[in-house]
Amino acid sequence: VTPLSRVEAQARVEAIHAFTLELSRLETADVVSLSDEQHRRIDDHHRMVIASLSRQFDVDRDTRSKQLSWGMRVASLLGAIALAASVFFLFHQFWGRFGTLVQVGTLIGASMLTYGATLWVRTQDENGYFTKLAALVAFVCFVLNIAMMAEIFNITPSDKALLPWAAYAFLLAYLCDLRLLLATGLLCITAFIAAQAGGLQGLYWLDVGRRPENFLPPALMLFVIPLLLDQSRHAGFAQTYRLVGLLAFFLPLLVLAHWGDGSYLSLEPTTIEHLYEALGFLSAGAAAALGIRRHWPDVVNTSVTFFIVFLYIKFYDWWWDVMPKYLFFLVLGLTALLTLFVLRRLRSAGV
Amino acid sequence: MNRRPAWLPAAGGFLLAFTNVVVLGGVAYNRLQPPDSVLALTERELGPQWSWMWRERENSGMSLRLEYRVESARLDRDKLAALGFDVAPPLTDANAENHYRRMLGRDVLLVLELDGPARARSLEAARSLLARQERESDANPGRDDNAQRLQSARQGLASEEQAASRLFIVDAGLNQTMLREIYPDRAHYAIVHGTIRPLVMRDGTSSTIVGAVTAVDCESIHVPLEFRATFPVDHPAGGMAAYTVWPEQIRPFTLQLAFGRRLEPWILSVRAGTI
Repeated sequence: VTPLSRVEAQARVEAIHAFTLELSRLETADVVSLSDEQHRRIDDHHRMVIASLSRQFDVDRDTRSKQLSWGMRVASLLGAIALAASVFFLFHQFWGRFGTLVQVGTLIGASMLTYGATLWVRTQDENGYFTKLAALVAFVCFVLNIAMMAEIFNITPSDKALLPWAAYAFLLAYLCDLRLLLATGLLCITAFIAAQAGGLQGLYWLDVGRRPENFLPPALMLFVIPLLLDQSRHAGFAQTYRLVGLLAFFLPLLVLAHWGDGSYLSLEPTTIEHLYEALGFLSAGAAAALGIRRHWPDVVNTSVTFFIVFLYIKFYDWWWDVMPKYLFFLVLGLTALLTLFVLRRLRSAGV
Repeated sequence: MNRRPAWLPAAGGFLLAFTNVVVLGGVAYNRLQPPDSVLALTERELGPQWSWMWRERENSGMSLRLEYRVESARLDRDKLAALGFDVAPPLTDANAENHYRRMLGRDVLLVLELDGPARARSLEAARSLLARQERESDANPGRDDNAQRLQSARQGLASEEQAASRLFIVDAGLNQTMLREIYPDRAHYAIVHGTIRPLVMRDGTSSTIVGAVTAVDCESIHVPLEFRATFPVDHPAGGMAAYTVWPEQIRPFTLQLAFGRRLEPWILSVRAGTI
């Protein structure tokens, strides 16, 4: 089957390496024995496949190449952040020296130019490192475009700006396989939906953070999206949806478990806090179980982390003042050990 | 490389163009003639903008901060109820504190009054305070803090007469047309977007509830390049960098500020000197 994406191509290369390694082990253990001719034909075929995939998708041919890829990925990310910051400060340094027409032209031109540059770099850059860099700069230029126009024309700040930013971040993310921009888009859309939900209650949109429950519906929505829309063509996108969804769900729960005043519920703040504590434990446990069942390590790790955070905070509330410190930390350590045992049992049971 | 829909790159260009068209269309609509109101503001109502974010010369833009005051007496319980706040629970209720503390701000329309009755009341209050301090000082000549009280009252009156902003928030509502019917003078009353929330004021044994203005959306006014050349405020190079402006650095100016159909402001003209 011809791979359609770099992810699938890389998976094929890794499968070939795994096959070669396992075949060598089987031959050493006298389980199987291939003739030299058969070896030669398999090796030739694999070499040809890897060369073809390398030409088409610039995959990592071996471990060394993979390590270099990681280095390039980190360099690409840091370079993109630095370049984006540079564009932001460059504009502020000089924009006051221009008339309104030039300012607006520069802002729109920078957005268009960086988008065009991203499309062009994408056609030249098979491995995507430079494309990612260009895409992030293009996104910052667009954010600057809208934010600075709002400042130039004294436009009333509005949550509606989050919509085109989210749309552009998604577009660039899917064009360039950029998880950072996908996460940015998801955060923008989460903030927008939360602000709109608050707006239905008559709240000022910038107060959205003061009612953390507003973030729960978009969080659940993000978590469900990869189940409804196939993301397998984009490496790590499904995980990014789930991770951002879980963070947007558990962080508000964590806040509400300690700040009952921030809730819409017309109950005593302490009752609300107990409710959200319980919901935090239950949902973290349920999400971890779901993650184990569906083989989603990202969900398991995030949920277990939040479960432990909820548990540690509860321990702090119960015992920090009454226990000697050594005993308190001993309890924390033993709880971590217990968690390890439980997870190991689950893994051994092959759940 | 992944195969992606052919329309995706074109959609990006369309998104950029469409967003900018919407933004600029909104600006054009806001500035359709005639403006909703035009106020003649001075250095008393427009202070220097500052920001902690920028070091000197890192931001070449210039903005002014709208200096307004709030006449809280007009933003009372009835007004808050009309704005949609649940102010039914009496302040004496056991649960009242919890109820009002948890209330958040709402987006409303605020009425800015320039040099009108609110300013006259404020001026009169400063004069009355000075007169009372003078009477009390004459009645109790041996009191230790007489001089201090008198000086404070005189400074208050001088500030009110010569320096304090004459721009007051005097009303709030949800319907622009209705507010404009109440305040038809477009040279002295501007309507702007802002945020208000109930605030419980406690004074000894008594408590009252008033509307606290937590934000005015047009607090920051951008100064275009064409006005900066003649702008008579001594700004250090770098514009918005955080700095202290001493009164002697601010020279008098008069600025025509228009508020458009979307209640967003823009500068029409600036000239040195008072009105």
